[in-house]
Amino acid sequence: MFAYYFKLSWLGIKRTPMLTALMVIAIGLGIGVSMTVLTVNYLMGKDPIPAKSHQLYHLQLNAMGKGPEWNYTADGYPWQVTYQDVQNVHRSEIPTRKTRSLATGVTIVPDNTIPNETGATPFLESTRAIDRDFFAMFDINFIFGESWNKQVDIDAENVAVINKELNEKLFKGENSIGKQIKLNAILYTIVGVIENWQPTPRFYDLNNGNFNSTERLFIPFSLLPIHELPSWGNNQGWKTETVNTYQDKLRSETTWNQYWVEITSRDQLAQYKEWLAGYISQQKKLGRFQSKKAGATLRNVNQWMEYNHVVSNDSSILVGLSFMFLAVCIINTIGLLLAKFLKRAPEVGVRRALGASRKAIFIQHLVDVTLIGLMGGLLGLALGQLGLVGVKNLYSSYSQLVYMDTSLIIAAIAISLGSSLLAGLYPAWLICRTNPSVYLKTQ
Amino acid sequence: MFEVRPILSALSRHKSSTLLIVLQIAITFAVVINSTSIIQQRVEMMNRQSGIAEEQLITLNVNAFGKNYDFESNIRADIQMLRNTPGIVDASPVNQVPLSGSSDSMMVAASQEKFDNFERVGTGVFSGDSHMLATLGVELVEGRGFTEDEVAYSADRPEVNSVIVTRSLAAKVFPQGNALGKSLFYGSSPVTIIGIVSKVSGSIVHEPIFEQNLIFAYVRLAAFKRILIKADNQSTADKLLGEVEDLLIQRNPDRVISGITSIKELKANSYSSDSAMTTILCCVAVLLVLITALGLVGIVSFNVNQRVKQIGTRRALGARKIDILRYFLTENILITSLGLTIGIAMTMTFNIYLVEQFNLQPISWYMIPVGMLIMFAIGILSVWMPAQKASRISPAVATQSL
Repeated sequence: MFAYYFKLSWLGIKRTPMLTALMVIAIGLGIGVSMTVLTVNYLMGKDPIPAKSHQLYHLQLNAMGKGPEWNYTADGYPWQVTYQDVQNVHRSEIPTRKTRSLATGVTIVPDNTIPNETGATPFLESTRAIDRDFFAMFDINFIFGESWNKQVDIDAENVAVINKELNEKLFKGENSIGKQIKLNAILYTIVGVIENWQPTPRFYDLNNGNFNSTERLFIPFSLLPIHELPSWGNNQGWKTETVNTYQDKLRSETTWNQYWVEITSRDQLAQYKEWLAGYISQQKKLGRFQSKKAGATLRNVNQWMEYNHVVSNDSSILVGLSFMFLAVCIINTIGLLLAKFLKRAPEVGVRRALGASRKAIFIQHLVDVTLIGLMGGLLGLALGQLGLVGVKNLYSSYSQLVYMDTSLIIAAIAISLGSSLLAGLYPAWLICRTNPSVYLKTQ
Repeated sequence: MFEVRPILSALSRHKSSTLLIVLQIAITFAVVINSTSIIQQRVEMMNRQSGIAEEQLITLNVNAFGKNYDFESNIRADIQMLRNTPGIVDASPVNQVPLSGSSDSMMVAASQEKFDNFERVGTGVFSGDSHMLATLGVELVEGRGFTEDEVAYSADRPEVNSVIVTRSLAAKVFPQGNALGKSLFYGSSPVTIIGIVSKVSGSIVHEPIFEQNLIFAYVRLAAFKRILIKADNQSTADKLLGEVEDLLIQRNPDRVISGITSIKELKANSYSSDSAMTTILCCVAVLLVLITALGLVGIVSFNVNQRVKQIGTRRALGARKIDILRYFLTENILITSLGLTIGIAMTMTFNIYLVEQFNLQPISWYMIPVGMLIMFAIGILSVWMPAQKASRISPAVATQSL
């Protein structure tokens, strides 16, 4: 039966090529535009670490004094934390894993004795200062070696973990464990080489470019006061205080460090929150945390992404607009389908008179619509790919964002079939109610 | 004269298809007007005057390494060498670069009392040597620039006595005017305003304090130094991008030169999300109008084909070609008017939502009448062809196949 319906539909399409083309173009454009926008939006806000996103918490502390509140965030909490707080909070043994974090950078001076293609030209390398748990917390795999031992987080040593790409550049990809590199004229020993790791968005640091590339070089956070590592990220203060030297900065209320903990159970979370409350009341006695909003908050990965508006306002606006666009395309298609079906009303009249049931007429028209929807969907997918190439050219930082995965392609087909069926429902219902006698009379 | 009554009665026989067109016009109007409003606001923002010689400026970072690197003598020598290089008009060490996206800012007030009461004003902080104003190419409107003796070279933030402010900052801190010679307070000892410049763009283009900036005569001595260079003209600037690294490394190889870019490029990067949004919205608006127009063509063509016999009959009864044409045009104007009436309400609702949810500016009033005129024009253009075809239907059709 379906084969017959398809044949009829195909004949119908051939008889009204212009009208059909208009409908296919309308659906195709609607799908193309909305899929382009939806893909960018979906990939922006996608959970970057689904297995652990609910266990990883980013800490925010509001240590402000009396006076005006921090008005950059909705809840008045600075994004990052001070060095003194990060040091104090790090003493808690409650979290399963924990890491301090700072975006910094070094000059790598390649050793002349190591033969490599980069020669002896020094180069700048953005670097992340972290604790040993960082790699295990964020599920980063090692190719060679492992993270430094726990003692290094307390008594700093000049050790480093590099990624595969930097290992290729410096050591031609061979096992470089135990080899040394010169960072800012100081020798560091390589203890581990990790796989190239690029979470999108770069959720572990949303304050220094959401879609930037990850660092290729990792060194212990405990080296901060020793080598006076500069901040390559944001530094924000609220207090009027003199910050001349690096030691001043370590003691200041400048927020420039980040802190992540891994917490696996609800009890543990409650316990940790209690511990933080205790820390804050102790700090209050020392004259800090005086603001009305003073306190601590923990946000898991997805909450942290939402808080930082990883999905930009522009993207949300475009999603709204693109669905209105799709709505216009659907309405347009309903109008054209009405025209097309009514044109065929005499034929339907004959079929009804010859005994075709209303259901048969209805189904046959839906098959018609499905065929148009399928063609529109395919056109839409092609246009969507074109749109994504366009978006890639427009936003240089989104290059890793713009691809359609299987679920998006399925969604595209589903939306196009769904919207064309929706568009076809009313015209098909109208036509199957045709009274055959009206048309038979005029024949 | 205009057959409004017969048109209405004909339309009432095709309620659903009429309603569909009306709805389509309404949504199209709401989307197009709101998109155009966003486009207009973004273009206005991107076209703001920067107040600096943006086409001629390039910037770079010097990152010194090595144990015996003397910060002061090196930065002085670098700047001297750059100023003596043919093609370079001027150069200055700077703490931040306009339009670069990375800023240094602080809070200032008109008096110590106001500062203590948190009646403070945010401002971007620039610092450089005595050639800073000349390098930026800003226009000094009142007072004077810095002399070389005023410039402090220091590793720590030194106590400075004088400051130059932008007109926008002066107006914000001293709304009564006469900012020149007054003092600015920011916690430590106050500084005197010795000069006012017309405009200097800040670093972060989306900040509300973008044009509120002040300039100190201070060169921080550190391993990391930014340098701003002003070239003769744009092509020299482009050429310098490829040459300046070698110049600096030849003078002293104990450093890495990074971030060599033109201000033009930094500006394009800073506004990239806005120009992308503008392009996408343009595409959306144009495609949407196209689809609606094509839809109208399709529906009206269908209607003409359906009514061939009726049109023929009218022609046979004495209607002129122009009458038939006018019938379809009037029908279209009626439908468009209804669509636009609903469309205005939708536009407003959508705009209020955008303003509340995303802090956009409301649409300008004139966009609605202009948009309506354009929609009428598009409607008439779309039905013109099929209506012309209808008017050419021969009166003889009326008698055929009867």
